[in-house]
Amino acid sequence: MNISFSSFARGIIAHVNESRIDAACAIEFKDRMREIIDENNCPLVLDLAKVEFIDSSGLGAIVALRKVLGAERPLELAQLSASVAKVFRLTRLDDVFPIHADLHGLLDHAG
Amino acid sequence: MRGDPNDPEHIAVFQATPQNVRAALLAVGQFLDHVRTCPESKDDVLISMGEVLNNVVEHAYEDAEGGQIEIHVRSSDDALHIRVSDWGRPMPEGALPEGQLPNQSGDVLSEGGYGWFLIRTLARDLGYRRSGACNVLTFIVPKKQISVG
Repeated sequence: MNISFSSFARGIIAHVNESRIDAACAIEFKDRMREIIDENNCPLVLDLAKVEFIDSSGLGAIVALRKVLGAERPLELAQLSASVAKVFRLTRLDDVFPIHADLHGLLDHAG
Repeated sequence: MRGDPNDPEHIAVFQATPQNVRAALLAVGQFLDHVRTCPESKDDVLISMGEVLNNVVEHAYEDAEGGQIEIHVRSSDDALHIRVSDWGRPMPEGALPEGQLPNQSGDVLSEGGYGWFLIRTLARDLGYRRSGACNVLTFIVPKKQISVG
């Protein structure tokens, strides 16, 4: 699972460099992200620009990360493809996660 | 609805594993592109089929390795017609789950239970029958636009 990282003013952006977060990789995705969450005590943005498809296993993994981060640490999403955005909208998880259309607003304040 | 023998169709048989489900969905996506399905209907088919196939791997074949899945996708003028067959355990109570949206308020955010909600939301004319040792699930996804490209 290819995930790269960059930082912005408030925290870390995790760029998911995979076309899918599905049942075949949801556990690996969750484990990789948990390592990052454990090592960095800051807000996290998931950049899903390259993710063309997510299923309920992938949704479950992202919800699990939301719980691991706890109430004090934001988990935000960015650059959702049409299909991924639809899954979040239908399941109303778009009410749970702040969603950024792009990364400009985050990076402009990176200083 | 009877199928027109001239309708384009895609048939695949594979062993029930998450990796094979992924490959099968990619092949269905190629078929949908080939028959010029609009992006929205293509997404609906792939999302709903993905959930159906994951359920077969996780539940119907929960205790069995190497089980087979057969998928059949037919493109008619106004819809995609999907049939998924497996030879695993029958649906509990012989019926499809209701698929209500899980609770999402605050501390009790659910990590599961979205699959059947997505299927119920995106699929039309959902049907299930147990035929001998075989589970047969059928549904259609309407074409939002008749063709693209």
